[in-house]
Amino acid sequence: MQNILEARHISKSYATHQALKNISLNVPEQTIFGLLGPNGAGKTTFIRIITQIIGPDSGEVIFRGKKMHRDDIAFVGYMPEERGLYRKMKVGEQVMYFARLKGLSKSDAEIAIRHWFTVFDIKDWWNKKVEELSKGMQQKVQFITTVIHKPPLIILDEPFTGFDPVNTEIIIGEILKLKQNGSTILLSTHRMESVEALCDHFTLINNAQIVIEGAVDEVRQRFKTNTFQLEIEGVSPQTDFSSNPDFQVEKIDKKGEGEFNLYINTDNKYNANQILQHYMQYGQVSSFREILPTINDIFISLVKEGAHE
Amino acid sequence: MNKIALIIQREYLSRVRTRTFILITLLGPILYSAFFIVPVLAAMMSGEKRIVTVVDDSGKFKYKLKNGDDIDFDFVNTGFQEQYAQIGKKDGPEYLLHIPANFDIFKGKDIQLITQKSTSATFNASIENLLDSRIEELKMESFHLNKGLVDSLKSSVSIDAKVISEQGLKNSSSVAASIASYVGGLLIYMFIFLYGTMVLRGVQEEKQSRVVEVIISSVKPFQLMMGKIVGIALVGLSQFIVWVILTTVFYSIINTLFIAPHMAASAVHGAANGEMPDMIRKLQSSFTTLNFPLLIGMFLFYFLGGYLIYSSLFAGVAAATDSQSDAQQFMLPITLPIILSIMFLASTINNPDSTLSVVLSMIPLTSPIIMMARLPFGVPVWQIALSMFFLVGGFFFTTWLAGKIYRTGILLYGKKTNYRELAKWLFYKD
Repeated sequence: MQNILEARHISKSYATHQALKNISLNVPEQTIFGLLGPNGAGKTTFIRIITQIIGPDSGEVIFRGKKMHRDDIAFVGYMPEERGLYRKMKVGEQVMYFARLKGLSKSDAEIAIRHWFTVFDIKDWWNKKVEELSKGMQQKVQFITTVIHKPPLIILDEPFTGFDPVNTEIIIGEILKLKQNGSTILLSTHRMESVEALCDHFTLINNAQIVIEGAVDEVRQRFKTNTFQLEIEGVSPQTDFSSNPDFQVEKIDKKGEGEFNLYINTDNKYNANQILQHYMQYGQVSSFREILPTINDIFISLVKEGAHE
Repeated sequence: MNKIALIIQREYLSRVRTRTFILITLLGPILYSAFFIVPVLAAMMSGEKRIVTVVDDSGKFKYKLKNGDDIDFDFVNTGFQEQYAQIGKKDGPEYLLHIPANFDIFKGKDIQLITQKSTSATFNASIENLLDSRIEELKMESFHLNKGLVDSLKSSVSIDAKVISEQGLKNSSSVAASIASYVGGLLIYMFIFLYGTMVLRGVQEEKQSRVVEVIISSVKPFQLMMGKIVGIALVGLSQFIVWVILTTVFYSIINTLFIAPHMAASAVHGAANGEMPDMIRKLQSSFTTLNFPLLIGMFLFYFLGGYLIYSSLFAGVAAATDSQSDAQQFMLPITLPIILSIMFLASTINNPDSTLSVVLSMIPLTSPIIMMARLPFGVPVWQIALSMFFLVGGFFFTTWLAGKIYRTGILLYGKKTNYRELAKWLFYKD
């Protein structure tokens, strides 16, 4: 798979602190790429460098195989974290203005706007002023201005803040559709759980540095702790789960009479089948699965480790 | 279309289409014409005559008192007490002037004007003047002087002021020049402030609504800043041009409909009423000696130059600060030169060629107002050229300065900026 975007050794300092330290990452074409990290990690600085709003102190950005040039931003759609529209401007005119700033002709822009206004069912908003819209409605308009020129690379900074669950679903649906139609989406967020559901690859930045990166599934596998969750019923009252030291029970939840929820770790001495077999002697196993860490868990454990070092 | 042209178009249309703009643009000239014409009309048309009932017990004034422009004297034979009782009643006197029997023309006291409501000072003064002319006659009679001889002694000299110009001697028009100076200087002041603050507010709005980040991911910050400045400059120019055209039209309509016939009528009226139109005619003719094409051309240049300098500085300030109140501290040093110019406007008009005036008309921050004030009196070409050169240079410098500050400041939030910080921004690389 080809990379639409490559960042090579990007560093950026402001007067008092370093925002990015030697960041390198590759964004494969037609994927959803998560740029993760807590607030203040340097995500927005990194995005501003990609969108050519600011320049890096060192390092370079490669876009579609060539050093990224200012003119390339016509191929990028960017929705900043801090949303902004002209409040006094009418919705239709506003989207038209942004589309034309991106280089669309008037007639092309009009066709694209009609399409998106139909998708979001907001055709009758054309002559409304932005200040008359609710926050969620404004978000929709903002999203449209970002993707109106069918950019190959779409950068969304915290795209789900401000949306109610229904509209979040709509936006997620549209993001997936954009990916299917060939766009690459760079999604920056501090809400790690949204990444797991959506992203193919991700990079986690903390304190201006990359902490971890890779494909979502691969990373979760890499960081798994071999913990299994097991639900069991019909257990006799005398049973002592901690009798066998090989099967460490990390946590027991009693759910009812003779009904337990166990978290088991064998330090890799036994595989899943053996564990299941071992517990079958105690009663009826109703559910059994391996626990994969969430990206959030991984992040927190890594940050803690970092703090210990 | 070019991106900067798109920005200019948006900035222009979004302002020109507002109701306030249309209203001010259309009503402005009406107000202006009214400003020029109403006083003239008022002076001419206060035609309503007031009748002053006179009880002349001295017998020295009866039928010898000349009526004034808006005052007619009505002599009655009934006694003072009788008239006094009738004041305010139907058919009774409104103004009752009583000249006592023992009135002494050399003391000039004891004449009473009795009314129900108090009268204006000018009304009283007019009556006094009319009485005075009769008293003067009486005095001359008492000294056995010939009135014709005395009249011929009175003198009213008028200087014929000429200035040397390339076309030879020309009539000097100091009154007209002073008026043109004031109007030119104040208009520049008004326009710079009006449209400069429009730029300030525009940038603040973009920064506060965060729309700026979306835009500068499409265009360079400098393009956005210049697009806004140029767009608003065009708004100002449009408004000015509409004002010039409409004012001229209104003025000529009102002139032909009201003033011209009135002047013709009063010219027929005779010498006593002819004084006023004569003065206006003189003023009008002295205005024609002003070089209007030059003044309007220069006005446009200095308006644009001054506006560009100040609005780019305003844009820089707005970009560097988060709120109106933060902006204030940076605004003060910037607006100081404008306020100074206005303070020196009067002294420039009194002495347009003083060293101070010449220096202030060269410095780009003060030259728009001060040079406009000097121009009607005539300024050497080399001085105009130098001042224009400095203004253009000043504009390039402030735009460079503002561009640097704008680029960094527009994306910074929640941080209070100080001058040291701003100075650092000037040397940031892209």
